[in-house]
Amino acid sequence: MIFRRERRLRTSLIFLLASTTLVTLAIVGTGILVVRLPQIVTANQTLVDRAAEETASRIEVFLKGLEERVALVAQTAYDVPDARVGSMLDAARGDAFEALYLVNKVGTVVAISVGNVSAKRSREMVGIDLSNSKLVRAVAEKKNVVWSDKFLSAVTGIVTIGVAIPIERFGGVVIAELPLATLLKISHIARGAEGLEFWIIDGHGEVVADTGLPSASGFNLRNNPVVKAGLAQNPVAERMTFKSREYQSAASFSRALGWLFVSRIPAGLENRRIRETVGLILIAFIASPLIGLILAPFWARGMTEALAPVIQRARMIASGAPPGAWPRGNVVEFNQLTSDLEAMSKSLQQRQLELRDLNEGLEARVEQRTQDLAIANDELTETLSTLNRAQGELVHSEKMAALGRLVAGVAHELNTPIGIGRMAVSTMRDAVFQLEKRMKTGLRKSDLTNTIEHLLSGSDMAEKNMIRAADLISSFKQVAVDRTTSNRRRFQLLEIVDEIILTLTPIIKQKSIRVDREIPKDIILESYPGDLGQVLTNLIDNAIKHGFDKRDNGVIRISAAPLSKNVIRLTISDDGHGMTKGVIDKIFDPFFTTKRGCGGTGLGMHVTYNAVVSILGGAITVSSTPDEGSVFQIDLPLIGPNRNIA
Amino acid sequence: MAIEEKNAQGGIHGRKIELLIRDDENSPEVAGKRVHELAALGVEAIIGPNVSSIAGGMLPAIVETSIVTISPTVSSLFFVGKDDPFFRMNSSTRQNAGAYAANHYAKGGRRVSAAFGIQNRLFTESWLKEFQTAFEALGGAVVATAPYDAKGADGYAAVVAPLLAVNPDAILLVSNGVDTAQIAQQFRKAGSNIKLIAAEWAASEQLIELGGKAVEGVTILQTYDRDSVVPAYTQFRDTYIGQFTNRPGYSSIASYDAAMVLFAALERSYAEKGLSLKEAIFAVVPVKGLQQDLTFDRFGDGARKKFFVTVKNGTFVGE
Ligand SMILES: Nc1ncnc2c1ncn2[C@@H]1O[C@H](COP(=O)(O)OP(=O)(O)OP(=O)(O)O)[C@@H](O)[C@H]1O
Ligand SMILES: [Mg+2]
Repeated sequence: MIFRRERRLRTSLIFLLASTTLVTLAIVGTGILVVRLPQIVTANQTLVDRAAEETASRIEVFLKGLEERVALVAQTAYDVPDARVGSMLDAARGDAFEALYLVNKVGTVVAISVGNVSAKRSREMVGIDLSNSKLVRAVAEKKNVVWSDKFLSAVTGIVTIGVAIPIERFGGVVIAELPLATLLKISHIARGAEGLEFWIIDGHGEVVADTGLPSASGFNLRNNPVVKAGLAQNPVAERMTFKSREYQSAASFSRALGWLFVSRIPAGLENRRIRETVGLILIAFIASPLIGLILAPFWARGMTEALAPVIQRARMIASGAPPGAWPRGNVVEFNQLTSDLEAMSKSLQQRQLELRDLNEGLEARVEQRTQDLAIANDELTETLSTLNRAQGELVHSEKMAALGRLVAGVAHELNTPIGIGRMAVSTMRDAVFQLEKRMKTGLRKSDLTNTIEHLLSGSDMAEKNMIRAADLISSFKQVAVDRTTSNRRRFQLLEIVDEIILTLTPIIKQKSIRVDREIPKDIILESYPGDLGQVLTNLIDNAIKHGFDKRDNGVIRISAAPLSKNVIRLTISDDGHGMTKGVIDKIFDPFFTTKRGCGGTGLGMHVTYNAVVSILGGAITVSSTPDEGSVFQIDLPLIGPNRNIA
Repeated sequence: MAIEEKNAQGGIHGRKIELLIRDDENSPEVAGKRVHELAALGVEAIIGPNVSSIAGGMLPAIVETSIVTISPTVSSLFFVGKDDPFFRMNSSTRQNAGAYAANHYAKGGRRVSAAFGIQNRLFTESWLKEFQTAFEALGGAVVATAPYDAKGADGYAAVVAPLLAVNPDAILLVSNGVDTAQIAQQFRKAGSNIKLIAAEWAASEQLIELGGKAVEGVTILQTYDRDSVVPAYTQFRDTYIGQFTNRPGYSSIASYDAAMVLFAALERSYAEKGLSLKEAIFAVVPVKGLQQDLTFDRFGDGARKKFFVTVKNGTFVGE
């Protein structure tokens, strides 16, 4: 899920302004840097190149001037009377030199002019031996003008540079010593650009002057790559590192002096121009979004002010109030939005009206439907009660049918004893007729005993069968009473079961069906035998009709056993076809039958259920496995519930 | 040079050594200030100074900031026997001056006149006093002494004449190389051929360059052997010449040695937590130097080997 941060228009505008300026600046700034920085670097390089050259030539020119002055002394020194040599040297020295002196060919100072030293001291210096002085030696060797490297002056005891010019005629040397500060001063003049510094480096790599340092306390730069290359008069690198800072550098070697002039200017951010350029861009980078931040709220206010009335109208529409006149500003998009909103509001209003109409119509229709439904409901209720009535009637007729079956059974049962009785009586009558015939023809004693024998057996048979018929009638009478009165009474379970089996004999006999019963004699119930009989009848009837359908034989087992002190379990099972689950689930439903149209009404098990549950106060369960048979279990209280006879 | 070499080897425990150079402007006060500045920058140790008077100016600051300072050359007795963060590589004035006295006495010298520079008076005076004590103990005598000011207006004549007047068998010059060269020039200019002895402080190439013939025959003590063929030394010497074009002087050698001691100690103090740099120095000595083993007594006072040389034909020649 993507969360979208909500922002105010004002914030968005500020963002927009700030980011626009920043991105623009980033691009422009980078562009400037990419173009400008190399330009600066090139310009700086030109600067240092020129500065090195310029300083070199400036100092060369300056020193050449001094050199000429010394050369003049060298030319004239021995022509001047000894007494005036000192003052000549003084004059020649002026302010330009620290010391100016004549050394003879064995290296002894013969005349001297020294600045900043007492006359006494300077006089003492005459006669000292300088034969080991590097400068004196160098001149003796080269027989030419020599500009010294930095050296420790024998006469002043300070570090200095000097020029030595041989006096050809006499083998002596004129030496002039120059304070280092002089060189520094000249170099300073050439400095110009900020950060531009110079080194004047002697042939040994010693720094003679460094404009970057206040005091000229020297150090050696022989190993600096630029200096090394410069002193070897090779082209030098444009970059160097000194004291871990980067510089752009150039070097110019003076052949006349044997010195190297190195100019350097800080490179990268250390350089002022680069720093300024970068700084300016940075300032712009920081300042412009700031300006944007300051300006943006005003812009934003203008925008939101233009929008506010539109928003207000929109709110009014939302809350259902009439929006009134729509404002128009000077932003095309806002005006468009406004007119769109206006159009929308109008169409909304119209639709609302339509909806209201529609709504009203709907209400009327709903009422109509409700009425229709009420009528249908009434009708249905009536139908239902009719149906209920019909069901009741059907149940009743079922009972009647059962009674009918009962009567048929009784008739059938009575038929035999009465038939036998009739036969016995007619046999007796035949015997009496025979006797009457004999009496006419001659009655013999054997005839008489034969007849008596016939009569005795006949009357015996008749009597027995009459008794049997009477027994049957009385037991049927009981069944019939039970069926029709439904009174609670005490009875022996076995007896009732036997009676029912008896009444069902006709249908049992139709097929070779065995009925096994296993009922203890001592189970005595105080309940409703008629209803129990009905239950048994229905179960046995179903077993034969459905379980043994299209079969000629089968076993029905009826058993009973006490389940607890007050409850017995009566089990009726058959080894018939059994039932599927679908049948079992609906077996107690009224009108459920698998024999519709073939004599089944589907009320048998419904009636049975009602009888067991609501009359006998028991429970009935069924279990069955297709092709193996069905088992009905009926749990009955020994004493049935009181029944309010309506 | 020592630092460059060490950093080239990867520094100390990976840390590069940074060298900050401060100019004492030859002023004890400035030098003291510089110590505080360096302390503020967080430096771990100072190598220097080379001069006793400057060391005197630095000492209070050194004690206060307890920055370990190793002076390659300072020898003044003023610093001897003090338990402070100030270490000296050099032998003390007493040891050196004593050696001078013994050397001269052994050559038969009995009467010595002495000139001492006033620029580094703390050193020169004490040196002379030590010499006098030792020389007199042997049976010799310092017959005249005279201070001189190399920058002063008075000439050297005022010094030269009185010292020669008392008929000494040698003149002892106690000052730096330049001053010694200049005053030697004055003795020769005065026409004297007297034996000159220069205090070890003057033992530099400048003495010869500026002294010329005037310093021929000057006897001087060097704290290193110019002609040593120990590989460590010759290698150092050659590198030095390659870099600076002239031979290393005794202060360069001692400075290099001081750096060696310092690096060894820094290494130890980084490795061993809780060990101060000062303790580390005592823990690492003796350290192999260029020509000798470097060690300190419990006050941080070292000692150098001593070689007496004479200037002959513009070079120092061993005696
Ligand atoms: N013992 C049984 N074996 C197999 N099927 C049975 C058995 N008892 C009941 N049935 C099934 O249960 C159905 C419902 O029985 P019920 O007695 O309620 O109706 P019926 O016997 O079909 O019709 P009637 O109203 O004539 O009794 C039967 O149609 C039959 O399919
Ligand atoms: Mg049935």
